[in-house]
Amino acid sequence: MNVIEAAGLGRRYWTTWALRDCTLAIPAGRVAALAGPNGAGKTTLMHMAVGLIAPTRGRVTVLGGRPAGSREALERVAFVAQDVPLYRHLPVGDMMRLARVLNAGRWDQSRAERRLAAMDIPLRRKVGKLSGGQRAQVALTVALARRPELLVLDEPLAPLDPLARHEFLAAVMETAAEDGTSVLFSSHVVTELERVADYLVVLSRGRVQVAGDVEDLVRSHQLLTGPADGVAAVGERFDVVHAQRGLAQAHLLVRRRAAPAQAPLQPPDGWQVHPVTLEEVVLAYLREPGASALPGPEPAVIS
Amino acid sequence: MTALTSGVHPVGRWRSLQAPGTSMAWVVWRQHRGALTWLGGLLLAFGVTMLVAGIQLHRIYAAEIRHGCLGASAWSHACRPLQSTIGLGWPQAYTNLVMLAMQAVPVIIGVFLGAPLLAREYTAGTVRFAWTQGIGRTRWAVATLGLLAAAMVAAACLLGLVFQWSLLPVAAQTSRLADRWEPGVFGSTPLTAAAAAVLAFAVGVLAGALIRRVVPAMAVTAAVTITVANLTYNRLHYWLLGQGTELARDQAFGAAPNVGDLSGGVLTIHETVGHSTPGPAGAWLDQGWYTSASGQRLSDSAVNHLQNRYTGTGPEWLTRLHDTFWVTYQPGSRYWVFQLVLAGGTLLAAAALAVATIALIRHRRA
Repeated sequence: MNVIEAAGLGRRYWTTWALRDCTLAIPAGRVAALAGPNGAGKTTLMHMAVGLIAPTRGRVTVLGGRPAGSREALERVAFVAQDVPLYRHLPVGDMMRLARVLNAGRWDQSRAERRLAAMDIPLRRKVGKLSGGQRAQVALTVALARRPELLVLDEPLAPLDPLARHEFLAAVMETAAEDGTSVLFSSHVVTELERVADYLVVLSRGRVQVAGDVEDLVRSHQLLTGPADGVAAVGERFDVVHAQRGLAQAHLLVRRRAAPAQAPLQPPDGWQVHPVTLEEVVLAYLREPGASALPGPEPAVIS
Repeated sequence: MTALTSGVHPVGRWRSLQAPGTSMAWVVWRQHRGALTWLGGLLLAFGVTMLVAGIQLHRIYAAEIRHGCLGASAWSHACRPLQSTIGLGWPQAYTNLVMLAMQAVPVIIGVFLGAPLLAREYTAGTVRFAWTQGIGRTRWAVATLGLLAAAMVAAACLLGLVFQWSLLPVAAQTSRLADRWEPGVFGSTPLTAAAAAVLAFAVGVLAGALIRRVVPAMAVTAAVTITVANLTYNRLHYWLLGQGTELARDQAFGAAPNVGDLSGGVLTIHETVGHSTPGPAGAWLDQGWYTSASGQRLSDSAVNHLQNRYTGTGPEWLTRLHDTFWVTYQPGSRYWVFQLVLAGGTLLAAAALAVATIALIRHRRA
């Protein structure tokens, strides 16, 4: 089952396409990261997936073909929007009761109470008076008490300090592990992705640039260092995602053409092979908006 | 999937959900407690004011009945102060004031409850929360709008009732001021007041949904609801009561129609047949005109001439001149029919706005 499936999905605001030709299939049971610079279309994609906005083109379904935003989808998908919008004039306890009414049927009250108690969040304090980290935890608590099958988080880490980030991610990971909840979270900070995500989607300028299993992505990419005049030779054997050329030396981030499980990489003479981190892969693609790594790939070749 | 779902909410948890304070009504109350409290306080104060004034007026009225002061020619030393109080004293100012206040009630509801309702959700970004919950945005909107509208109906109904009751003594003794057909009274019965409140609320909610900012939405709502009230009281009311009128050849009344605007030989009367005026009892007089013996409608100047010359001399002059006065009117028995028509039409307009709002919520981006 795919938790999110998009086909030819696009959204236009007036004359600008925030997202276009987006075709995606994020498998179930994953913690998927949606990366990309600001304005890449991450929020637009998420809002369409949770049914907040309608697509201009194409369609998107969740949890095995349920139309995004339909009743059956809303019941199973929990969404924490950017800047955690909650009713700030309400005390935490009332916020929880409100969420319970709006989600009658699946709501897990004891889970909500346990989480808030463990976090030491006073139920009588108004949501608006909590710290950013506590507010994020309250929003996450609301989302988790809904017992979602898919948890969608839009830039959940942005307003948090490092400790709060750690706690937040730990809570998300724990839920994903315990309940088998699928998670999709967006971030424009690339460094944190590798630790958490096992599936990655990179959006750039409204298009899907990379989509795939994190392990596969890391294994199928390599950093090659060699003579600057030998770049063309490498290009014959590899897909060069990004090239950084000095006077004498060149650093190339390349993608194997064959399946990643195959035999060890054979670089051309005079070239050294280095393993890459996920961050390096993501950054390389973001620097080359023309390149892409998608299931059924068509990587750009740099001559 | 089925096994997982059934494991998620055992019976015990369902029971705990039925605890008090876990209904949509509680959510709406908790969300809008501030606005509802001060709005409720304001309306309550207004209602109590009318109640107190009404008790005073009814006391005077009861005393008048006791002394036999009612009726066109009743006069005694005991009656005089009572009659002059109601006819000339504070009840006159009071009547004008509460009529205006009753017209302001829907405006206040629309501006302070309706307009911020969705606009605040948009500005605070909480639509992204509210519309992604399991209940779904349509059910959320229908429940929220429905419950608040019901509360406003109840409040406006009660105010309309107290208003009508408090003005009974004034209406019984003054020819025009608080007559039931007069726009200020006709538009503030429990029926029409409730409908007006719902319409103003719907205007406010739609303005908030379209404009998405609290203060501009409130300003637009104020402008629209005040305009609607103005049009209703000054135009729609008279147009409506002019529909399907009866025609009477009313010589007796024709002696004294020196009120109303004369244009093209037609008098726009717009007045009730008072207890001192002979005519179809309790009827609303719409228009009148004179015809000569040959059946031709008299011109403006001819009517002016007649009125200047004969007003106050009794109805005999018409007969003498072989002229006839014609009048169109709504029989008093149709009062509640027109109440239902006005209230129903207002509610229909409100329903159309509500449908538009829900459609907007369903299809528009958050």
